[in-house]
Amino acid sequence: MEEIKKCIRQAKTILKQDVGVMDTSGQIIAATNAELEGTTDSTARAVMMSDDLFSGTAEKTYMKVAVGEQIRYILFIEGDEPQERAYLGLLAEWIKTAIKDRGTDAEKELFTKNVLLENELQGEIPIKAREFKINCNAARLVMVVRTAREEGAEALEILLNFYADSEAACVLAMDEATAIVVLDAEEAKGSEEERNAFIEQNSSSILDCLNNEAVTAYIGVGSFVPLFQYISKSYRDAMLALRVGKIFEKNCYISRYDKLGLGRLIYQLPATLCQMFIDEVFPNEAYKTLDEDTIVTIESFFANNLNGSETSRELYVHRNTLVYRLDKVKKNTGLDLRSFDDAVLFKMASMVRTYLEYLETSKDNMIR
Amino acid sequence: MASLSFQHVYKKYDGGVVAVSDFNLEVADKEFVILVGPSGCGKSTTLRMLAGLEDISEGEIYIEDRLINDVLPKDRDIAMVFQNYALYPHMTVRDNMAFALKLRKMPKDEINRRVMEAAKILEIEHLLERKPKALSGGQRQRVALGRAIVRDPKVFLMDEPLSNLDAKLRVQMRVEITKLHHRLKTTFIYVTHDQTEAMTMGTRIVVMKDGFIQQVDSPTELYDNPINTFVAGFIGMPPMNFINATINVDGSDVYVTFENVTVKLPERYAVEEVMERDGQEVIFGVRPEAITDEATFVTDHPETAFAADVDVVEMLGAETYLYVTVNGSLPLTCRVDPTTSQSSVGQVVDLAIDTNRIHIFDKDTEQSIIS
Repeated sequence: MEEIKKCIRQAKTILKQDVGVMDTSGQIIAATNAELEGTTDSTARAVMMSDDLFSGTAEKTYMKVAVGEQIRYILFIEGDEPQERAYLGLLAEWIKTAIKDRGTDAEKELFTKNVLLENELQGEIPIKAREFKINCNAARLVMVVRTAREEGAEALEILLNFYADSEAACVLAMDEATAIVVLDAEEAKGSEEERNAFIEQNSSSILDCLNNEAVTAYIGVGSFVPLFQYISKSYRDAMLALRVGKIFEKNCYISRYDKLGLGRLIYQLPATLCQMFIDEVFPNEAYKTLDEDTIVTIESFFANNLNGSETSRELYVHRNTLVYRLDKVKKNTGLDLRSFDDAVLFKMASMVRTYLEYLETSKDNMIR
Repeated sequence: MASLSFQHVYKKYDGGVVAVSDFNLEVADKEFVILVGPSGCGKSTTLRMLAGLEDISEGEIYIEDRLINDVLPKDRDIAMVFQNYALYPHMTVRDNMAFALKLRKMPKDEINRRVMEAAKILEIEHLLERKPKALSGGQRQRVALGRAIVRDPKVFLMDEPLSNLDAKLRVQMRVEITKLHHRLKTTFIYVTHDQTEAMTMGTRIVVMKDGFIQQVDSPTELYDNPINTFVAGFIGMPPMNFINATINVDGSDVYVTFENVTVKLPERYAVEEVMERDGQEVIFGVRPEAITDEATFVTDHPETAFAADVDVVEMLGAETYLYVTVNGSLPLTCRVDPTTSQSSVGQVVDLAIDTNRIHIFDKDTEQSIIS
């Protein structure tokens, strides 16, 4: 429908008369006179019953438009001169082309989705890509944009507008909360710096663009792939980055597959192994004996590279209070965080614990 | 137009990371408040909580008298401007500015009216039919501001909006945004890590570090009376000189001693908070402009004078920076008057401190000893 409206909007800039399109029941879909849109033209019935392609009244000329074998639309224009018939003929061809293009776009979108989801045979991808005029030889990068379900439609509209008319990007809706952006990354094929700049520029633009319209979004950035046919790998990586980011980097809106750190390792571990590790480091659920103040203290102590003076200054607590809290951690868990080895063990165990918690609650996740 | 109230606001993430702690702030209607601090201090998180892009872990935020903790971002009546202009590349300036309103199904006439009004305010009427790629950085930034203005929000939120501009354009846009605030008469909350932006634009500045508010004050108060060494060092360029010194009390006179230099403090320092620290170490803070090489001042103030080796002289036109070393080990920065300064590199120069503009901080807590 949008493509028909677009044709009529463009026709308005060329033709002096009012023109419009109605469906076979006479309901006007699009018209240069916007007030007519949504109203019904009673002449439609007579036009449909006529055997002629063109019909006319004293004020208007009508033309039936077939898509495939079936009459789908009736065009109308003010006036009943021969030139008005010519205008309608041209407009009809214009609309048919637009509808055909739209069909091709939808097929292209479906094809890209199938490639992302590995529903296409690898060997056939370049052949089909050529049919859709997709440059198969350019490097690609996939970004997954996740929003709350109720904001998904708006986010998609924003992204489609942001990348509209862009040959270098393709925006697809995967589900009501997830949009995919497949970027042509040929310009970032060179150095590491170029790739980083490309990711930084695109991901932060998407995020700011959505935030600007009051939409909260999380972005997973996949890996660069050299050819279009490998975008499924980049998509998988982006999804993984989003999941791992959600677990270990909760205060981060952009998660990159190439910057997952320890989270990448822990995410691959089987749950039973993780549980065994936790039972070993925190026997008898020792971690649960630590109160919120102590946990905040530990995080700050780690963030300050185990520096007690900096930590107490940052937390506005006396150094003795910090020592007391660290002693309490040692008493409850057996780990002295002032020792590097114990600190590393604690840090890893708390990340593993976070991962196990995620596994338990993942079914309830509505966002990301 | 709206007042804002942050009441004991926290942002905590699972696992103990606290991004914002006990944030309390009252913002009056039409105020221009700047949140400033180093990277990771929680300023953007605070702004995002206000915008609704980040959940509030604890506490309450009010816009006027309306509690907005659970209000959807788009219903908060705010508009944001980010570092990235995030303009739609294929749309004209006019369409870019109208886009948010179209999304909200606003009538066309109203959209046109608002776009024209915003374009007039920003003086970009002649750019309305251009596309973003045909605009300069400054013009793009204006369009981004225009997109915010057309929403007619109660509060404008800006997150480092000038970071993408070059230094010259940044100065220009700083003035533009300040003018815009006067013209729109709306509440502005502005986040930056740049203390110059903070000092030049805000009616009040909130200095943050590690998620905590350090000090909330007017630019002048922050500069003249910093509450601790962090604020003292963060505000002002070049930064304040911090000197490890010892307090010495002799009768009713108070002195600070560092590197064999003894400086007599003015009478206002002869108070209990200072006198009781006789023999104790403190941090002596001196702004660069409080150290001078002006001959008359040095002669008239022998009680604060000392000699130093000049390492570097930076001529900036309206002012000159001297980088000197006292006693071969204590580096200091001085801002001197180029019309009177005769100092040159390699020279031993006589300097004196204007003790009316000094600061003394506790060595352990780093808090100012007298306010």
